Amino acid sequence: MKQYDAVVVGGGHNALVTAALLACERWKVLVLERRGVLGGAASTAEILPGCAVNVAAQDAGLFPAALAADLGLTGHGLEWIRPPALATSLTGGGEALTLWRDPARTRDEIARHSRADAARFPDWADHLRTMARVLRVALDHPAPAPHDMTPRERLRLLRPLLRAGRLGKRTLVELLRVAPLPARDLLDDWFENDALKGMLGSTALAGSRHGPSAMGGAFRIIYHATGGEPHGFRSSAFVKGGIGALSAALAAAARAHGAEIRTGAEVERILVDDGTATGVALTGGEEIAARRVISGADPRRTFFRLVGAPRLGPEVNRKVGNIQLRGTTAVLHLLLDGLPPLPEAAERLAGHTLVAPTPDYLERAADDAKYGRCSARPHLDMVVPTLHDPTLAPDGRHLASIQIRHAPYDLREGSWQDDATRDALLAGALSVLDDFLPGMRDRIVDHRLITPLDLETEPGLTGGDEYHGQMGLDQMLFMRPIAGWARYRTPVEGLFLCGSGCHPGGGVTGGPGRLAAGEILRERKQAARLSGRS
Amino acid sequence: MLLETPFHPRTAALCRSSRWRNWSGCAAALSYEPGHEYEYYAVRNGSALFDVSPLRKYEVTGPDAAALVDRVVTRNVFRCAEGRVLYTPWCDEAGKLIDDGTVQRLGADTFRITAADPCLRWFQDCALGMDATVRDVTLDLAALALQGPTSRDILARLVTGADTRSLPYFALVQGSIGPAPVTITRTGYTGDLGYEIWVPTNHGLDVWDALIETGRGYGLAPAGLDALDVARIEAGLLLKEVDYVSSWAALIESRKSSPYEAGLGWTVQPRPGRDFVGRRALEREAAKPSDWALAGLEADWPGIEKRFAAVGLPPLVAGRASRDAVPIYERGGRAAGRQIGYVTSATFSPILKKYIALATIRREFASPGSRIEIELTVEFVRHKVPARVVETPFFDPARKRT
Repeated sequence: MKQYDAVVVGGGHNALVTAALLACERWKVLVLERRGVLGGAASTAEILPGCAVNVAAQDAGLFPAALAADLGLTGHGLEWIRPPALATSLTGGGEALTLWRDPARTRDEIARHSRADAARFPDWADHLRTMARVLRVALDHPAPAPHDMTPRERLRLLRPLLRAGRLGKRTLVELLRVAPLPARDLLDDWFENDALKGMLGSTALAGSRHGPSAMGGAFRIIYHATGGEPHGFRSSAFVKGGIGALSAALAAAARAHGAEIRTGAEVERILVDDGTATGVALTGGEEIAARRVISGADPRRTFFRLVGAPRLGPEVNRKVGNIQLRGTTAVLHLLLDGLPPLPEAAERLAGHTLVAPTPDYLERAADDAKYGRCSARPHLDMVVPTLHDPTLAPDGRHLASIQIRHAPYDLREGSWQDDATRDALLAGALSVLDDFLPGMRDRIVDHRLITPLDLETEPGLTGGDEYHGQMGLDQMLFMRPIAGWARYRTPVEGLFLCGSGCHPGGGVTGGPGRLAAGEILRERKQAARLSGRS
Repeated sequence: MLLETPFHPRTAALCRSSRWRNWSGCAAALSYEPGHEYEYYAVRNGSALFDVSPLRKYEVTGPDAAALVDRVVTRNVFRCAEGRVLYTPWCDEAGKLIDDGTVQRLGADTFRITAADPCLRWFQDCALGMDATVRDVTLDLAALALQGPTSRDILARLVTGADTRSLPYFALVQGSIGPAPVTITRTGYTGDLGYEIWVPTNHGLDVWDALIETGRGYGLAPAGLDALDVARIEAGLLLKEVDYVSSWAALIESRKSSPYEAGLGWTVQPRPGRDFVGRRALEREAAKPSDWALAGLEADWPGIEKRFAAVGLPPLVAGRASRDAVPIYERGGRAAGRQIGYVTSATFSPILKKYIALATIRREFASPGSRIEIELTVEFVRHKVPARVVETPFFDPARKRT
């Protein structure tokens, strides 16, 4: 039987990053993807006839340029698109407020709504950028392991601390003050205009069930600002050919370094012998031996489905069972026979187009989710990728991919399998769309709704949680995926995690994949040193 | 507020001492008469009837029920046939005791587990990914312990639909007492011939009344926890939170005990391919034994008498079992007087006429015959009296098993 240095379970973007980085170090790596398409939640597929649709993730702006450069992704066909508009908030009756990449243009735009806010906006952008820079340091390094503070650990913590320290103690203290704030409180400190606050606050809803009044929303705003966009606002960067092209470039980079990638190869089980992972078993019976097994799947899927809860201790089971995996997003893909009707549509709709008119609107949307209902008036986040890449849809047609929040995975009444539930969500989203983009409905030629249940069955996101775990402060850094599980290791010897469920977290960031690869290489070196001694 | 057990209407009427204890959230009589001696002698010479309803009871069912129970407890459940009962502890992942109780195998895929304290969530966490259901049936089942030499005859006269007379030690049978469907297990906490009777709560009083009525000619007496405590020490049976501290209750690591340290090493029963909670830690401990062990002690009675006589008193040892920890010292040698352990339970045994104790003691002193000293306080002054390690059970009548 062929033995690999590492078998990577799943072909999501983080798994591909890990595979590519290990292959760079001459590891014999095999990636096994259940589906025919790579990329996991960051994949592009023909789910509408003749269209290349970004099924779940749309935006790749959090993927660091340095990592893309290290892996030579442009050489493997990666092409970034950074549109002039970051985001446009629809404020009703065909009105809109756009944050442009150009700061002067943004200021003028905000001034149409509030002169005071326009004057404060540059300072806000500065402030957020500074916070994001500090957080970036934490996200760029493996999380500290306070449960296991050996001298070596302390030494390793020193570098990021020094780097963060260079940004100033006041900045550090300010981050500690701001991160736990509700998004609404943070924004109320700065602005008066509801449309602006709604737009900026909407970022706090991504990766959480909670609304803008819940603690920790400010953290998510900062997290999404770590992409380094000009206003410190969330990223707005797309990939030519669809987000799947990023995954394809990662796969090509991995293959170029010798990694093997098999699609249509479903890992049924991670083989564990007396507490140590020894390989994987595929559906169909094939067994593959490996020194390390690295799972890109979310922690609960990894442990409960692939390892099997009975092979773990009850204490581990409880912790894995308690990870907050709470999908709250549905994605509606629309095929349009023309651009949505909005003045300067081609420019304004080039980034994220949001229905988040006021903080209250967002709060009510989240209230519904809190009680297991779909939002009666959901928050929408729309991307029209055909504006940058017309090849994604047939001639003259446009694609609009709309994230609908909230659509909770665990409904109190009904089920995502019922047509009635899906129809109600669709009707609610379309009615909101019609209110904010009058006439949009008449442009719809075809549609495809992806529910949280679909996200669970197809890319395999437990609970439909596209972040592999809620992005709350209680599930970040050394508490991600579980407090006490430092450094991508697990209670199963030789089994590592590399997906979004690990530090630094979800989104198309490549971060968990990159840091996991670093830790796995380090562990190997340590093991080699130890065995060399004995 | 304390809950009342299903037998409370009867036990409250009988409890002339008004002495109650909180047992697992329920009011449990310490003794029915002002003193417990009569109730104790009922255990050894007639029959005593204990209300043991506060025990936690869990029902495990489903195709993986046996696999689940086998995963939870230290004993090899695959060797427990239908109709048999096991005494077993269960451990956390670090191999430290959580609780102990009995496992009744009611059917191929049906078990009932008794526990001192709530364990539902633990059992359910263990059951994740297995096709087995764990249900808390504590309130659904009333439980009585009928313990003593005449218990077999009493039951034989009462139970229909089952042969209790030939029921072996640690076996179970299902039958009826009057209109009440009952499970009878030949188990108990007294080390005597005895049975435990498990009955649906709504039939509890029927069974109580029938036992009291039939027991009249057999020296049957309702008995409380004071008598039970003396009997269980004589039988060398452990009490959770007294003789060992549950790993869930321990505030510090050193208070936790492994089965080996609590004299329950015999319950750790590996089997090729068997994985149970705590296995790896217990394998490590088996290879490198702990410094601590459980031992039975017998104090030197003349030594005790002498200490009391010196101040003009007859020996005033507690009439009831004591749960106060008392230091144990090395005797003789260069390190004489060094503390080497502590008594966890002690009592004067009325049937052996000896002062006996269960103790946690350093392993090198734990072999039978080992001579040590235990602390004894007489008139507010601490003394040391000689004692020696003996085999447990202290009292082990043949009728318990035959």
